[in-house]
Amino acid sequence: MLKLLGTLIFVSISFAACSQSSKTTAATATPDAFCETPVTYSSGVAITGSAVYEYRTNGSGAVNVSPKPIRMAEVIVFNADDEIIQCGTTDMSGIFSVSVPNPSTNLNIKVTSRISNALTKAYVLDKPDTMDYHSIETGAFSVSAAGTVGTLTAPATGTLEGGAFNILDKILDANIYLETNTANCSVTFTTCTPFTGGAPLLKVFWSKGVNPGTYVSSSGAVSFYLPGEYELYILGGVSGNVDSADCDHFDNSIIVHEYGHFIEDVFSKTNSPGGQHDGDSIIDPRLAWGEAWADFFQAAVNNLPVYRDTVGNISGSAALAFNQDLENQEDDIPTSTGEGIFHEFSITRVLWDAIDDNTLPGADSDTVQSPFSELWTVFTNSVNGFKYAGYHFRNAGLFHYIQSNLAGAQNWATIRSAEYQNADETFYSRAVATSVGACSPTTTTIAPASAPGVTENGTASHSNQYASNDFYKIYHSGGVFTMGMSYTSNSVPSADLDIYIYPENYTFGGTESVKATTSVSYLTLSGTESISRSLAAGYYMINIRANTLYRVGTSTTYSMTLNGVNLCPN
Amino acid sequence: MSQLKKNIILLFCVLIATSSYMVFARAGQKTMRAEIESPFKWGKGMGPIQVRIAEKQVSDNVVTLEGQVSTKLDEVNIEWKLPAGTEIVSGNQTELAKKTSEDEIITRTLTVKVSKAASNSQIVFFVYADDGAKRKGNSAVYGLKTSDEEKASIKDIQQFMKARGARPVK
Repeated sequence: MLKLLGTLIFVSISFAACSQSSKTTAATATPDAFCETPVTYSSGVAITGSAVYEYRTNGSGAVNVSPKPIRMAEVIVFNADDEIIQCGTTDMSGIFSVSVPNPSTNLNIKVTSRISNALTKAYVLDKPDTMDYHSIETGAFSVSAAGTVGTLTAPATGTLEGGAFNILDKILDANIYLETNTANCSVTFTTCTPFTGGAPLLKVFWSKGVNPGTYVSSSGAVSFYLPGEYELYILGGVSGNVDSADCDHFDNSIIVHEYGHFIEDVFSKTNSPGGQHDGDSIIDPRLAWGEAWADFFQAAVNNLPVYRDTVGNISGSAALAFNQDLENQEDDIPTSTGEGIFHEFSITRVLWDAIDDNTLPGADSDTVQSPFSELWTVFTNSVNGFKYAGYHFRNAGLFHYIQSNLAGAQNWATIRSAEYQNADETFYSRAVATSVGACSPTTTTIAPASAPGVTENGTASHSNQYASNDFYKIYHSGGVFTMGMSYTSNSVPSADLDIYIYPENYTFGGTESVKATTSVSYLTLSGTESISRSLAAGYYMINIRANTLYRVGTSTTYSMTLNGVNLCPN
Repeated sequence: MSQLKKNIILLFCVLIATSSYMVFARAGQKTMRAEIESPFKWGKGMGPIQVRIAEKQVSDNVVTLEGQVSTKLDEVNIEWKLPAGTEIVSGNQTELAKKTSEDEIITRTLTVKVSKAASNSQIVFFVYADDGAKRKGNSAVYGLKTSDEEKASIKDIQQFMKARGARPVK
């Protein structure tokens, strides 16, 4: 009987035929050891060959007539008993040469979707509970003299191994970019550490027709990175469909974007809480930074200021889920001072402008020309860079602050101001300090406003984090935390301001906050709030938020106290 | 007019104004772009068109699906792509759908009869809008068959990921 089940609970097992059988249980899954050490045969003869992979032009176009070499990939020679008798790798042209006993019969050579060398350690595997590699192979052949097995091709259609090898090749591209562009960087930036040591082993899970979102019970078609696990999941289609479904194996923007999160995870530090982002909204600055870094990184590696996410291909139904220009303002455009750090693509444009070649067609007229190593220094340095343990709530304002204070750095003032971004944390994660005297100025003004296309309704998801909220970071040494706030407006209705205290790894609007809210009359010109809790030692974010359930309110000034003493923004 | 009377009139005006505003604000508690609810909050960026298929009803060989569209765009083309061996019972296979309000989630229902010949394929809900030479769009896919073995496989992986405390954030 035909079984019709839920929308997205299907995993193709069609690839099993191309991969090794499962040998382990889910709890203990490990990939096969990399075939690393060549064997010497006294009677050996050299068998040569080459390996290439097909790909679709621009992600969803026709299969390109010029396949690309499979570079630096693992080569394994099996005998008739399926035992490994030789190991090797392809070179940067996709060519391999392996020594095998002469004579031999029923040999089989596989080129796998794995790289393991000093610069790059990356495996593209089928599933997290089996960890089998993808491969192309010669099939059985006999040897009586040195010879060639010709060219092995990973196809972009049918069994689609080209997808696995494209992913692998983009990771190699990224590492080569990092190595090339950080070489000798300490000459210019004394605190820069080159990427010469490469990155730790990354496992990438991809299978034809499979949406890895199903692994984490998601109905959405997604690619994602698992922080701390060094695992990247790339969308291979949905429910077995690869021609009309969203697929990312040929979307180089998505592959390198996700790899950028891995690089951030290993070499920098993120405070991103995750969350939805559509590239055209005011979002949490920590999320905006993390996504913007990855957007920028893919543009730098691919040398193309476009963020492109395709759906389907021309063999089915093709469309662009995203095709964002990262050079010129297209979407996600800030309009007020300090707003830019709340916009993913706005931050991306600044980072791209910092390094781009302004002579290219379509380039804007910015005159900044920073080397990538300048950003790398800011991004990775743990002494006085973004990775410094003393920093919290990392966002683009902090990144700009560090960059602007880096010895030898370019002046980014023009490209920052064009995107309404400051080189400080005035507009997010602003420091506050107690003062026995009055603050200067004595009050702070908040002017709540709905974000474009969003109507404020009192919920966090609709709250304009730039205009309707202020964010202050504070260290609390532990114990009672008593905070007060008073606010007033010159015209009714005032904003209805509330206090939220968030722990360090908060999600805006999340239940982990403690809050002080008081219902106030609609006629009021002023109000007060207070909150007193015993809190553990640590960093907290004080959020002054306009409650817009019944009204947005007019421009309103407020002042804060902590344990009865004035609390002043720095 | 005395200051007291002025204040009373001002107070009355403010009361009326704010009450009206309150009603308006309550009625308008919606976003321009309603997001289709998803349990997955940490995926890649959402494009201008988001789509989803909800299974509404299934019998032995007839399935009713609801395609859902959330978009910033005013109008989109909707197309149900059906595999060989399926037959439409009700609903339109193609349509130009226009939003009637900014926050509307466009829904379209399709009922199809499925033969055994189509049992191993998919129904695709493809939504797009042409912008010059570029076609913006997205799709959702409904698999017509999932074997017990495949269900067990995906369940294994979900448990495996859960046991590791997997929390995708990007």
